[in-house]
Amino acid sequence: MTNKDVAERTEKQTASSEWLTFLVFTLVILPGIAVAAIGSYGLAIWIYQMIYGPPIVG
Amino acid sequence: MITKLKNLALSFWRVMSKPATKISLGVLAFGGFLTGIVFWGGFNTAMEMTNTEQFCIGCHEMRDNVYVELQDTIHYTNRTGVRATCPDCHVPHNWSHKVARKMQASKEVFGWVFGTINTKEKFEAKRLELAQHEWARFAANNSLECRSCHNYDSMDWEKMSPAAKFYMQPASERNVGCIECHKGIAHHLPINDSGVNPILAKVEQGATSQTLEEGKQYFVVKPIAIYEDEDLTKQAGTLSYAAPVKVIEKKDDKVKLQLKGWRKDKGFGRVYHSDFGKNIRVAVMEKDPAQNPDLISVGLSQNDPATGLDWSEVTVEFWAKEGAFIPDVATLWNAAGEIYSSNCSTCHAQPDPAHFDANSWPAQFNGMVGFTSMDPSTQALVLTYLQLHSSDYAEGTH
Repeated sequence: MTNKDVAERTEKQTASSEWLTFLVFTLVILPGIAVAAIGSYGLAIWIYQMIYGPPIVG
Repeated sequence: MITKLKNLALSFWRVMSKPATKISLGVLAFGGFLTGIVFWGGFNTAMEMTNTEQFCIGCHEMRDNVYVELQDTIHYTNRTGVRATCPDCHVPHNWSHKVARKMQASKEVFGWVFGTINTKEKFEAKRLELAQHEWARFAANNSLECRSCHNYDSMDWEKMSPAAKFYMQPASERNVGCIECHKGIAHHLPINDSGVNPILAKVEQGATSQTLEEGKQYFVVKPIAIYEDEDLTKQAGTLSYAAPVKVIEKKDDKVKLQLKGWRKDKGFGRVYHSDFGKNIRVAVMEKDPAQNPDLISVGLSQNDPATGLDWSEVTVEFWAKEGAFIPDVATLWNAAGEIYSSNCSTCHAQPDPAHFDANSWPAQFNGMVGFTSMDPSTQALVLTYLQLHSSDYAEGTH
C-alpha cells in the first residue's frame, strides 16, 4: 500500500465520520436536548407554582 | 460494553471539537438552519396535536364523561356556531404556561396508566376534587381562558336581558372572574347523593376515621345527638357545629365528653352558647336533662348589660359516638369559608366575617341566605363560622 492510498483512505474515513457526527448531532442529540430543556422549563414552572401558588392575575 | 461506549463518545468528541475538514461551512450552516426549522415546526405541530379535542377525547375517561356533558351546553352548540373545545378553556394560551400545563399532564398520563378514573363510579368519586382544581385555577388567573372570548368591555348592556344586566354590570365594575358565578356552565356540578354539601361531606368523611384520645380536645363536624348514658339510649340533646368538647372517658367507640358553654338564665336554659353574651350556639339540650344537676354544673350568674339578661357558665358531661370529631377546627372553618365565599360572591362581594359582631351576624345572614342554595345544616355551620370570625373574635378589628 502506498502512502497515497493511506492518505486517501483516512480522508474518506474523516468525511464519513464528519457526516455521521453532524447528522447524529443535529437530528438526534440537539432535538433531544431542546425537548429536555423545554420540558424541564415546564417542570420548573410547575414546581414553582406548587410552592408559591398559581399566577395571580388581578 | 462500557469501554465501547466510552470509545464511541471519545471519537464523537474528537470529530466535534475540531473544525470540519470535509464538509464546507456553508453546508454545515445550511444543514443546521434547516434541521432547526424542521425541529421547531415539528415540535409545535406535536404540541398543537396534543391541544385538540380529538386528542383529549382519545381517552374514554374524557369522551364518556365530561365531553358528553359539554354537548348539552351552549359552549358546544349555539346560534352563532362558535364553540369552545376542551383546550380553549382548560389549557393556558400563553406559551410558557402551556408548556407547564403539558408537563402537569404527566399526572393525567399516570392516572390513565393506572386507571384512576377509568369507571363511571371512580370518576364521580373524584369529580369534586377535579372540579375544585379547575375552579382554583380559574379563581387564581381570574378566569383568563374564558376571557380569550368573553370580554367585559365588549358587553353591550342595552342588548343584555335586564336580569342578566342586573348581575353582570356590577360584576364588570369589580372585574369579577367568570367562574365565581358560572360554575357548572360546561360540565355537571359535583352532586352528592346524601344531599350533604360535598365540601362538608369531605370533612365529615375525614372525621369518621379519627380516633379520639382521653384528655384531648376535639370539635364536632356535624350536629349529633348526645346521651345521658353510655348505652346511648336517653338523648340529652344535640351538639351544634364546631362545638368544642373534651374527652374524659372512652369505651369502645363511645366517648364521654365534656362541654363548657354559657346559657341564659331565663326559661329552661336549654340552649348553650360558646361565650358569655354571644348568641353562638354550641348545643341544645332536651328539657329534662337541661335541669338535671347530675349532668350539668352551673357557675355563677353574670349580668349582660347589653341585653339585661343573666348568663351562667355551664359544664355538661354526656356520651356520644366516635366518628364525628376532628382535632383541628381549622379544617371545618376552611370548608365553611369556602362555602361562604362561593355562595355569597355569586351576587355580591361578600363582607369580611369581621365586618359585623357575633350578635349581628344572625340577622344579616338570615336576611340573605334565602337567595342561596345552602341547605339548613350548611346554613347553621356558615353562620357559626361567621360569628366565631366576627369582629368580636378577629384580631386587629374594631
